[in-house]
Amino acid sequence: MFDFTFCKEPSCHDYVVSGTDTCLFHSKDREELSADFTHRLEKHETIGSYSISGLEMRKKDISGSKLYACNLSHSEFIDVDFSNSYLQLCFLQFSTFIRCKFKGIVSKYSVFSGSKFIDCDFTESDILHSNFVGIDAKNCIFDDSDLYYTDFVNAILEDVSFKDCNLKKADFVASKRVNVSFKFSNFEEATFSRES
Amino acid sequence: MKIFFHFSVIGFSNTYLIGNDEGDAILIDPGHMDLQLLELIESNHYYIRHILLTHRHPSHTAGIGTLSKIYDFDIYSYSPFGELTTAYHPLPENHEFELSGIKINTLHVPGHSSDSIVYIIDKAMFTGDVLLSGRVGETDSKLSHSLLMRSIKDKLLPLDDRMIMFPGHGAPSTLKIESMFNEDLLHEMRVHTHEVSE
Repeated sequence: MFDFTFCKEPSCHDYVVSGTDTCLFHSKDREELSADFTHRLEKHETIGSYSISGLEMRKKDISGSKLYACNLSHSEFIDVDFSNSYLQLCFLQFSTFIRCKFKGIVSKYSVFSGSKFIDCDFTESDILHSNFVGIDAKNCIFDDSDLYYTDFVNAILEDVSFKDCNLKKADFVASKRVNVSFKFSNFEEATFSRES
Repeated sequence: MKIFFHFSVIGFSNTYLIGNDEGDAILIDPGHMDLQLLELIESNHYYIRHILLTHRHPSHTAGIGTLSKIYDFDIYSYSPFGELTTAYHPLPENHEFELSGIKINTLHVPGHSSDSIVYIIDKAMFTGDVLLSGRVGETDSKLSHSLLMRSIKDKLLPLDDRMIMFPGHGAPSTLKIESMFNEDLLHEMRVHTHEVSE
């Protein structure tokens, strides 16, 4: 797992960037740390047990990345291509994803809760045991994906497509769904009500 | 300390492997022993020294028999686990102890079962069937549900909300996420607010 140490700055509640004693926001080397991490992703380096929350990334192709037990929470990704990436036990909660591509990703035990997704594409992905609780998704596509045991509890989903997905054990309880399609998906194996 | 996640299709439960740098490891809730779990343990060069049980339901304990044929370990849980010859250690409420150099705290959180216990290791909490991603554990009566909600409210929600949550079933989460979006906790809050306003 990533380092559970918190930033040395008083009243800061964020995790430190791995190998340093402050969070990214309070780091003097903020730009260098961000650039270094992005560069490692662009080189397709396998990254494990690394924490760098509050990251800002724009117009990057990090497709094919491999991340294990990493913390990238509270980050902002705009026009970032994550296609064919592998995310295992990664924490990306309370982040913003705008026009990001996640085509063909494998996400296992990863956390995206409380994040905002606008115009994102998750087609043909394996998103297993992942946490999308409380997300706000607009104009997103999950078509042809395996969403086994993935939670969308209390999510707000607007213009989201789940066509031909495996929804076994997926949980949509208390989600608000506007113009959401489950065509050709096994929605009867998902949960939509607290009582079921 | 490294934490590994294993999912068993039998019982749909999560088993957690926690290892130290010396190769000693703790297993939490071995609901089923299969080849994948064995490969996870052996490929990381771990030896299982201890097993922690969050509660005694079969989907969290059924792998112990097979594991005991391979490894020599002690078992820790809140209530007695008497069927095996393996050394057993009952854990009291609010108990701090150390296994293989890993510090562990216990919180007794009854409701899903009378013996439900949450383990806190560093900034990670292993909640068993007490608290799950977006939901709370199932209960068999209104009384048990009430007890579970009160236990969660009194014992878990006051903890540091940056705590990472590893449940017995489903996806991982954090305490902050659960306090903001867990539908069962929010529902309870809405009912309470409605009753107070009336």
